[in-house]
This record gives sequence, C-alpha cells and structure tokens, in this order.
Amino acid sequence: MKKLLISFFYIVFINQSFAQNNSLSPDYFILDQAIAECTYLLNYKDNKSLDSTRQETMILYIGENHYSKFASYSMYLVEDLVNKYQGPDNEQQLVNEVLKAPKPRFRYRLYKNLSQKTITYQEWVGGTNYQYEESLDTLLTWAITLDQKVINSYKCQKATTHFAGRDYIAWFTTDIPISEGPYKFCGLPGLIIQVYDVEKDYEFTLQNLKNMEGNTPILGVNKADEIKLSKANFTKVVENFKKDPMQSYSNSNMVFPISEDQAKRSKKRLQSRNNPIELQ
Amino acid sequence: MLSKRTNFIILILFLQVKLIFAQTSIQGKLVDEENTTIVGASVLLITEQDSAITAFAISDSEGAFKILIPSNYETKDSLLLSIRSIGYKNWYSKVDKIDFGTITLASSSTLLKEVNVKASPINQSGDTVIYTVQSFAETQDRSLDDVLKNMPGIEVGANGVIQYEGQPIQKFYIEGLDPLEGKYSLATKNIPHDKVASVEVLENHQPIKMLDGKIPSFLPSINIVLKQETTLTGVADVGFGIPDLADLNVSPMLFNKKLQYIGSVQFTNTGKNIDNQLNTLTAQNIQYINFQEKPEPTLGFSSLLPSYFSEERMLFNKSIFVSNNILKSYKNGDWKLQLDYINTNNDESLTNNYNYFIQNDTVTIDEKRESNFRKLKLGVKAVYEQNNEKKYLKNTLDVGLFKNTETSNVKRQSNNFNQSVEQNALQISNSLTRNTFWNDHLITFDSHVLFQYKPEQMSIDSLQLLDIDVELPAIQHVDKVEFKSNNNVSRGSYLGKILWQTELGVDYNITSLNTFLNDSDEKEFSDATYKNDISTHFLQPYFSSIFSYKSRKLNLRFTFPVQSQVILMKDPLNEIDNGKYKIVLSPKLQFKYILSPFLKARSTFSYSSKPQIENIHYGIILNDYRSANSINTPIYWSDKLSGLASLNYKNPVNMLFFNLLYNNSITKKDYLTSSDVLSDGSIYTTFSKQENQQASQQVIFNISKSIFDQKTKIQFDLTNYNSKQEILINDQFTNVKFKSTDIKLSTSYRALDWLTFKGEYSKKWSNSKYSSSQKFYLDEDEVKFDLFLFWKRHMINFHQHYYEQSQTKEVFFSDIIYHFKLVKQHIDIEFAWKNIFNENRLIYQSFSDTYKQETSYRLRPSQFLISAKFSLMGK
Repeated sequence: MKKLLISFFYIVFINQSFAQNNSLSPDYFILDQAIAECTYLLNYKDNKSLDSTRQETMILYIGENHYSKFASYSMYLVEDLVNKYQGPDNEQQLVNEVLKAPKPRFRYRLYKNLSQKTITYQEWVGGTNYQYEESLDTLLTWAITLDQKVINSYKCQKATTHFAGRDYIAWFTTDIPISEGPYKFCGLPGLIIQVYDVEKDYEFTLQNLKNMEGNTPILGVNKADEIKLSKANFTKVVENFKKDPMQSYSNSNMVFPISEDQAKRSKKRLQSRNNPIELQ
Repeated sequence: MLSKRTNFIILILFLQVKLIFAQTSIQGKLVDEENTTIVGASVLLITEQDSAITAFAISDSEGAFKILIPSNYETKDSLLLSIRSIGYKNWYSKVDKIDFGTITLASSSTLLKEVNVKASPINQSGDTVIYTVQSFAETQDRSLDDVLKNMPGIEVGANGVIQYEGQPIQKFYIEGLDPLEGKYSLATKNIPHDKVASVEVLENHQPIKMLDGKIPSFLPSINIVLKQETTLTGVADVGFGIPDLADLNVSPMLFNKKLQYIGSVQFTNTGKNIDNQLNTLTAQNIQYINFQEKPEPTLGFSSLLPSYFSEERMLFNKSIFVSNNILKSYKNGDWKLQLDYINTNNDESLTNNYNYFIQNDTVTIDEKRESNFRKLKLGVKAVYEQNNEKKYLKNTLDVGLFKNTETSNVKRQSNNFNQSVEQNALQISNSLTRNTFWNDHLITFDSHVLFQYKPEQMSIDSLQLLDIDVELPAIQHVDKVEFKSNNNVSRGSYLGKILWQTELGVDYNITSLNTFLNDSDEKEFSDATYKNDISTHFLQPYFSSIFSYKSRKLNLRFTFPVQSQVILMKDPLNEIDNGKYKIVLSPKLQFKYILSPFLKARSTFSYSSKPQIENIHYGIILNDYRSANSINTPIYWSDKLSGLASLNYKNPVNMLFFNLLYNNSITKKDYLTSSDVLSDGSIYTTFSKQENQQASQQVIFNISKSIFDQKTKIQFDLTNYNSKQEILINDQFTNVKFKSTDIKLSTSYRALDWLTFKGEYSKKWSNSKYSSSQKFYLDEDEVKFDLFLFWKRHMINFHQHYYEQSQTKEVFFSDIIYHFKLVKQHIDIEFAWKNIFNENRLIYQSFSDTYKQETSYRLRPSQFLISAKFSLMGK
C-alpha cells in the first residue's frame, strides 16, 4: 500500500524492469558527455493572483557533441536514484529514497542539439509520457543591444527577444563561447547568464558553472510508451489534464486508485498554476 | 566635363553600391587542425573601438557561418571578425574581404570561467546593487537599521544618515514610494528586518522619471523591497525601570501599492535620543533657501552634548513625539500628508574650563552650568506629486510652529548668573516644481517660497560684561522676519548627445532684524548701541546654462550661472543706508566616470561668491551672560573655491568595497572675526577689515568587506583633516592650524551558532597650533566590545565600552542585556542593566579656534530597564 503514497509522477520511474547494478536502467541511454554543468536559479510566479515568487533550481548540462539537457535539479536526483536502486530487490529502497527526495515543480526534460538545431521536449502528463520537437532555426530571433553589465562576475551583454507570448531580456557572455542557455533559450554568441521576461514572471539566473572532468554522461530517456506529437497537440493535452486530471489518468495505461478528495485537490492545485512560461 | 545629369547618375550609382554593400554578408567555414568541422562556434562582428557586438552567427553542422553586415556599419574598416569556440584559441581578423573561405582554429585547452554564487547576498543589476536582508541579519538584530549596519558599502551614522560609497543618500523609497520625504530614520528604526526582502541601492537614480537618462544624478538612493506586497507591520514596545524610567514606542505601519502609512507614538526618559527619528536626513537646498531649516536660537547657550560620544550615556531627557505619515497613490499622482508633534525636555549639568589663547597671556574661566532645554514643534506637511515619463509636478507645503526655551544657572566662584531664553518661530514654506515636454523641449518651472517669523528674548539677572553698563536684570529682544523666494523657468533641448538647458530665474529675499535691550521695567535703553532695526533686500536675477551628458561610462554636468546681485540694507537707528551691486559667476562641474564595472571615479569642482549679509547688525546683541557681539561689516562677498575627487571600488561578488576621497576648499574673506577677551572671561566679538583666507583639506579612506560564511564584516576607516585660518584676538593676529587623524577598525565575528563577537577600536590624534608659540596635542582612545550568547530563544549581550583622552580620567561602561522570546504570544522580553559600575563623570577636552575647553559632564547613573516588545499584526 505504500505505493499509494507516492505522488503520481514518481511511479513512472519505479514501474520498470530493472537491470544490473552499476549500469544504466534500460530506459536510459548515454546521449553525450558533459563538459559543463550550469546551475540556474529560477524565480517564478506561476500563480498570477498571488504575489509570492517561488524558486526552483534548474540544471543545464552541456555536452561535447553539441547536445544539452535542461531539467529541474530534483528531476536529476530521481534519475540518479532510479539508476542506483535497480532490480526488484531494491524496489522498496527506491520507493523510500524517492519519497525523501525533493519534489520538482517542473517535470520536463529539455534536450537541445545545436548541430541539428532541434529541441526535444519531454514531459510526463497524467500518466503518459509525451514528447515534441521544435526547430531552433525559427524559434528565437534575438536583437543585441549595447547595454552591458556584470552578473555574478561575468561581463554580459544584453539581447532581447519575443517568445511564446512574452518579451524577454537575456544577458549573455562571450567569455563562454557556447550558444546555450536555460529552458529553450539559446542561439546567442555566448552562454546566457540571465534571462527573464519583462514582467519578471520567469527569471533564470546562473548561480554556478562547473567544468566537468572525466565522464559525466548526459542521459537520454527512451520509453516504450512515449507519445510523440506536435507542440500544438501537447498544449491541448496539458489543457485537458488541467480540466480533468482523473480522465487523463484513466486514459493512461497506469492503474492506481485515487480518492475523490485527492482528485479535487489535485485539480485545484493544477488550476492555481495559471501562469505558465509559454503563453502561446 | 561631367554634366549635372551624369553627376546625378553617379550619385545614384554610388548610393546603390552602398545599398548593395549594406546587404552584404560575410561567410566562411571553420575547421580545426585535423580538418574536422567546428560546430556551434560564436562568430562575432565587433567594433574595433569598444568591441561591442554588432552582428553574430553560430557555425552550423558543416562548420559554415554567414553574417549579415548591419546597414549602419557601412564602413567595414571599423569592424573586426572574432571567432570563439570552446576548446579553441580565439581568432580575430579585420573585415577585409567578404568570403573568408576556410578558417582553421588552433586548439587550446582553456577551461570555462567557473563561478559559484552562494545564495548571492549582493547582486548587481545595471545601476542597482541589491542586498539580500536575510544574508546580513544577525540573530541579535531587530530593526532594518541594525541590518543596514552589517552591509558592506553601506554606513549608518549616529544621526541615522545612510551613506553609500561615502555619499549620503538622496531618496529613501519603500516599495518604490517615498512616504517619509527624507525622515527615513522613522522607517529604518521601526520596521522589523524580517519583513524586508532586500535593500536596493540605486546608484545613479534620477528621482524625476521624465528626466531619467537625460539629466544625470550624482547621489545614490535606496529602495526597500518588502517580502509581501501588502504588509501590515510595526512594533509596540513598553518598558519600565529604575530610577524612574519609562519607555514607550507604538509604531503601526501599512504598506501596499496604493497606500502607505507610518505612524509612531514614542515616549522615553531613558537617555535614548528618539526625536532624531523625525529629522529630515536628505538635504534640499535651493539657491539661498534651506528647506530643512530648523530655527536655531541666536540667544543663549546651545547644548554642549558631544556628538562623538554615546549620547545615550549623558542625555537626561524626557521626550515625546507623535508622527503620522500617510501616502495615497491615485491614478494621476500621489498625495502625502505628514503630521509631527515633538516635545523634548533635556537637562544638562556640566562644569566648563575655558583657556583662551592670547599671546603672552592666558585667560582661564571655570563655570558650573545647569541648563534645561525644552523644544516643542508642531509640523504639518502636505505633498502632491505627479511623476511619470511625460510630466512631473510636485507641490510641497510645510508649516511648522516652534517653541524653544532655555533656562540656565551658571556659578562662577561666588557669583551666580541666571539666564532664560524663549524662542518662538513660525515657518511656512511652499515649493512647486513642474516639468513637461513641449515640442521636444524640456520645460521646467520651479517656485519656492519660505517665510519665517522668529521672535526671541533672553533675560539675564546679572552680567559679566565689564564694558557694558546696563541695569539689571536685562532683557535682550531679537525679532527676525525672513522671506525668501526663488522662481525659475528653464528650457532644454539636445545638442547632439548633450542636453543643454537654459534657465532664467530670480531670487528675492527680505530680512528684517529688530533687536533691543530692556531693563526689568520693560523700559528700552535709548542708547542706539544696543539697538538694531535692519531691513535687507536681496534681489538676484540670474541666467544659467546647464549642460548634461550621459553615456554608458560618463555622467557629466556643467552648470554656469551668471548672477546679478542687488542688495539694499537699511538701519535708520545706526544711520545705515547701503546699496551694492555685483555680477557673480558660480560655475560648477560634476562628473562620474566608470573605469570598470568595479571601479568608478567622480569629481566636483565649484567656485562661488556669496554676499555676507545674513547676520550683519551694527548694534550690540548679548548672546549670553558673558558674551556680546556686533557684526559690523559693510556688505561684502566671500569667495569659495572647492574641489572633490573620489575613487569608489565595489565588488559585489567578493563583497569588497572601498572609497578614497579627497576634498579641498579655500574661502577668501575681506573681514576677519575679532574677539576681545577680557580678564574676567567676558567676550566681545566684532569684525575688522582684513583680507584673510581659510583653507581646509580632507582625506577619507574606508574599506569594508564581508566574509559571508562567517557572517563577518570588517571595516576600516581613516580620516585626515587639516585646516588653516587667521584670527584676531585682543588686536593680535594669530595663525591657527588644526590637524586631526582618526582611525577606526570594526568587526563582528560569528564564531559559533551560539556565540558572536563584535568589536570596535578607534583612535584620534589631533593638534592645534596657535602662532608659533603654543601647540596642543590631544589623543583619544575608544574601545567597544560586545559578546552575544544565544541559547534557544534566549540571548545575553555583554557590552563593554572604554574611553580615554590623554591627561584625563578614563571611563569604563559595562552593560548586560538579557533577551528572550515568548514564541506563542509573539512577545520579546528584555532586561537591560546599563552602566553597571556607575561611572558618573566624563571629562572631555576639545579645541576651538580661540580656546581650549575642558568639560566635565554628568553621566546617567546605573539604570535597569525591563521592556516587552510586541509585533503588531502577525509574526
């Protein structure tokens, strides 16, 4: 019965077949080797009617073969746990560890490939894994301005763009000649140190940059049940889920009981998040 | 010969060529030494001048890039192509071709510049430096004021003035609004720090929105960001103690986007100076009007409490104040209303020993003085402000009623002198500023008026003035009425990047001074020697040119006024009917230059010439029981040349701040103060015609650094001051040279979770040289040490304070404060036992230009206070 306690999200990591220790769970594969780990602090207001700002630590891994992965720190923690506690014998341990770990507020993984100029977005919504792709060629058009400032000791230059219904200001540094950044932001001649929309509803700021030595793999996720769809259709899926989470779960191939009360609370919580980063 | 037509065609062709070039792009392909393509490299087109990026590309999967040259950079000579990629050396070239073909980059193994920001206590965003309050708050801190003192780069003076990079702040905002209009001590001393999220220092803040980016500002401002947009907060503090002590503070506050209210009712007789919370700490002087003018008495003694020493130890006070400050924000503008009532009653008991420097002679006076000072003020201030990108309008109406009294008893040997002073004052001022844009011109209009009526009288039952023969008791009357006004209008437009404003204005001031001496039967002395009936008119039309320039690195402002000054002075009693006219230039240059993101330099030079008419009076006025003066100069001007240069370094990342400041000023005057000191210590001051010069220079250095993990701030301050002036005493010229050097080292160290140390050491050396014969030295040492112990909800603070001056007895204060929290009830209880060893006298020596003074102050006896502090609304 302990499984019932586990929030919906984690089940996907546990409900798997397990391989040997010291190797990856079969759902994961090595996409690239990281050369840098960039930790961003995300300050966000996902509920427009409250004035409080929330925070989440997000990590961007940049790979040597032009792949990158961006997700919540807590997502990486769970990935580590899943790979550490493999096999049916460790199942109970895994459940315990996952319950102890902090819960991510953002449950997506975002892969960029600068060579192929694509973004792959994966998110687990209502019991199903979804994935969509976008082309980097058309996603962002940057305008560079002459304004400069120092953020966390990097000399930065300002650039602006319009993306998904918001106007953004980004500060990038040419000292780090990698055309990367948090979330879907990239394409500037240097790493984005800070990016925020003009309302400051979403603000990413680089807190930590570490050169990665040796082999820190960037893990890709391969799931048999994954649904590939267009961005527009994904948006519909999310909307439907918010309207009726129960329906989404029952449509998925996962079966676990949820009380009426739990469902109501879940719906209320989802609907309070009325200010997503992408408005369009 | 080319025809006009051909010329025209060539011109068209030329334009087209330019157009074609504007659409040109630069291309190439990147490979490494092994001919492998380089993907994802940054290809930049930068200006040679300041390496700003004008266009860029990222190399694609084939290693190829293509950059469109922006049309505004047709002259490609000024551009550089720069290629950067991780793992390769940076590559540069002049843009001397369009197709660069294959570019081979040399590999290099440089690592990326790493950074690790731990909860980032200080951040910088453009001109704003953001301090996270939580990061600097110590367990023992209560109010915002306590935490501000821990922030490197910020200094809070004993009077509450906040300085950043050695400059006093210009505005204090709460959530972007300014409800207190400069009385910010009321907020910093009463807002609990846990309600505040961050303190933002706005380095070059222009308070008038429509001038932002147009007219540079040289003073910093502070904005307080609260944790919640709507905050209902404040404190209620009640304390009782022995001997007969009471302390009360109820300060409710409300902050939201539309309405801000700060109220405070305080009473104390514990020695704490509470009334300075209502002082306006931001200076606002317009031409000849000082709007924060507090009518200071011209008669009687002034309080001798030294500002350098803990006032709390020697202030025998009974103070009460009520302050209400409200700001309401409407769609069009903000309304502010402030009501203040202050009533203070201070007793002072001291013995003075004066040693006057007279060549080949000294005059020594010993007096024992008991004084009582009462001050009462009732003030109302109403402000309307409209501040947006298109328009600025602000009107301030300020009315103040003052009633100050002093009663003193002085004992000298067997003689007894009683002196009582009564000063009433009414002050009304109005200030209107309106700025608009009209056809791209900036139009500003200002109108400032101040009216002050100040009757004063002093009665003395016996006099120590040998030369003055009056019947006793004598009553000195001084009635002063002043009206000051400044009206100006200016128009500004751009000359390229420079904003050029021309201002036309006029100052008009009228002062009337009426003084006379009565005897006890209210009978006036007919002798004109003791009478004044002066009226002075001062008219100054002026024309001023102001040039402002602002770029990313340089802020510059040059003001060049041409003033024509007309002065008329009349005193029928002393047969004075004087008129003077002069044209005066007062140029001023200010600039600030950003040398690097961490380092900036600023400088100010000014020259001014001011008429010395303020205090002229020919009839004698008694100041106190043993001094009298007449300022018997004709109308004359004094010239002042001053310069200031400073270097400010701030590194928010490693939290290191330092300032180095040098200033120098020279004042030239035609008349010299001349004092006659008689053997009985009576003094008569007049002026003599004698060109003279006063020069002073000052070097200030301060450095502060936070070592955040330890929650430690280390600060070192050094001030070196020296001045030179001439004085005339008993008809002999004396050159007075004064030098002083102060150093101060302070630190706090959080050794353990339950243990914090705080220490401060200061030393001052000063000397004064009178002519070549007399020289005096003075050394001062002061040590303050605090030990804080924390255990659960308990705190004990041991405070030690040691002070010594050369040749006097040292004083040693010891205090214990025990504090604990009743969590459920949200009450803090505090027991404070101060001056445990009951030190009762402090002897302090100082110099002035004519005498050396040794004062013995009565100190507050050992006292014990229990107080309870409630948080108003919420935790």
